[in-house]
Parts: sequence; structure tokens; C-alpha cells
Amino acid sequence: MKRIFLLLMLATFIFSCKNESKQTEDSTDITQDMSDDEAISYSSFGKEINDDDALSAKRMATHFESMTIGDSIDTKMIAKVDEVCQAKGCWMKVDLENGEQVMVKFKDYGFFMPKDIAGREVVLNGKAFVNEVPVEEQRHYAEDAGQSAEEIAKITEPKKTFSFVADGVLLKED
Amino acid sequence: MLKYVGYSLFLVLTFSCNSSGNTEKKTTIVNGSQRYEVYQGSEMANVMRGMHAFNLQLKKEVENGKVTTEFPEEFLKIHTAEFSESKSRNATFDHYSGKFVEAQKLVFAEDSSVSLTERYNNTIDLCISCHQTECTGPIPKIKKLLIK
Repeated sequence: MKRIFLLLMLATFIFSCKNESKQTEDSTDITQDMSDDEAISYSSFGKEINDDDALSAKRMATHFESMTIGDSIDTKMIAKVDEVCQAKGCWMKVDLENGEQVMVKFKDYGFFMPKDIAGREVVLNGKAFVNEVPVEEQRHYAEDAGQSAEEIAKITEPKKTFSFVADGVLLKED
Repeated sequence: MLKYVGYSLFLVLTFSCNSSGNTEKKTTIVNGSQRYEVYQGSEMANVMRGMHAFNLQLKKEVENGKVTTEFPEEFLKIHTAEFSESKSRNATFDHYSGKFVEAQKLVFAEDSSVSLTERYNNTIDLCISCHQTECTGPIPKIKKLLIK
């Protein structure tokens, strides 16, 4: 009897305290069990990533503010999309929640985002850096964003910007 | 009997460790380009992707000092291929595309006094110069083609 109880105890211990995690995967669908009680759905673009350990936009803002031109860090961040390139979806601007935006481009021009995702939340994985955007490039972006010739002509000076080259993006579904 | 009660209590405690707030969050990730309409590339974009792939291979040959390939005639489609909706052919593009084709052909010339690396880099520089006037996005990718 005692042995049976000991065996039962051992079995219970093994089944109860193991870290439950199961993952089903095919070419287009991955399901991960995690430790909250919410179901989240993402659409993936570029390299497939997950949302583990992604920094909030506010937290990322403090990193950007402490960086100088030429600095770069490998990171993952969550942010809301403010604007997307209306020509091809080849860049987007996301909100840093401090009045600033981050210009996001996609590694090696390797993938594009849907053009109608302003206001949506994204998870970005890649390299964050601070740089200076020349006048010509700013004008190009303004043109793609559909700004008027008058507005484009007002761009006359290089601008210090926060940038991100993403190798993978997750678009959060509502 | 007390022993069995003790064992039973232990079992209950062990079970409780499994249910201590570890409810599940399901994260579903699907391929975005199957769910959304995303830009797939115009005829011109595809011609240029082909040019990039070719020059990536050519770069290795130039670095090794021996070119075994020939100028791809498909590159001449640069003069006729359709642009994406937001872009159109203009005098600047025609100027640079003409110069590009000339420069790319020179890489395969056997009687040139200019070094192979220089001729190759001239071709890539023309791509970059043209993209600076119209479509800056691919520039970082093109720059990787340069031989330093």
C-alpha cells in the first residue's frame, strides 16, 4: 500500500509541476501556450518572430533618448503605427509615446507591410539606431506620404531621427 | 492511517503547485502576406531583383579576379518594364538606366584598361545614384554589392 502511494506521489509530482508548453506548427500557423489568460493573434511579416520580452514604446523611448548618432542596439519593441508608405508599404512610422516617432524600414528591402494599418499595434524585431536623414530622403518620404509640393518644399534641413531596421514584424489583430 | 492522510495532503499540495495562476495565453501567428494585400513588386521591381541577384554572384567572380558570365540580355528590359503605380519613367531614370547598361557591359569587356573591380563598382554606384533620386529604400541592400 505504501509503495502504491509513493508511486502515486511520484507520478503526481511529474505531471503537476512540469512546465506545460505545447506548440503546434505548420508553414503558416504557430500556437504557443503562455502564462496569461488572454488570446492574442498576430499576422507575421518578414522573419517569423514572437512577442516575448518586447519593450514598450515608452521604455524604448528612454533607450533612444540616451543614444547618439552612430549608436545601435538589437532589440524588440511594441508600438502603435502612425503612418505607412502609401506607395508600397516599404516603411512605416511608429509612435514612441513621447511626441517622437521611429522611422521603420525593413531589412534588405525584403518585405513590405499592408498600407492601411495606421493605428494598429506592431511588434518589431531588429536594430534600433539614431541617424540623420538628408533633405532629399525626407522629401521622398513626404512624396510617398502624399504631401503637397508646397509642404515638400518646406523640407530644407537634415533631421535627427530615431530609426529601426526590422527583420520581422508582428501585426496585432483586434 | 495518519501516514496515508499525510501522503494525501502532500498530493493535494503537489496538485496546487500546478494550478497557481498559470492559466494559458494562446498566441496565434499567421502569415501576414496571406491575410493582407501587400505590395508584390512591379515588372520593373522584378527586373531589378534579378539584377541584384546577378550582381551578387558577379561580385564573387570579380573578387576572385575572373568573370565567367556574360552580360544578361534580360537587363535590357530596364528600358521597357512597367513601373509600380506610384512611379513612372522619366528623363532621369532614362539617363541612369542607359549609363547602367553601358557600365554593366564594360564589366565583361576583355580589353579594358580600367580594373575589373573599378568597372564593377562603377555599375553599382550608378544604381545607387539613380535610387537616390527616386526610390531610396533599396539603397542599403545595393550598397552591400560594392567591393570595398
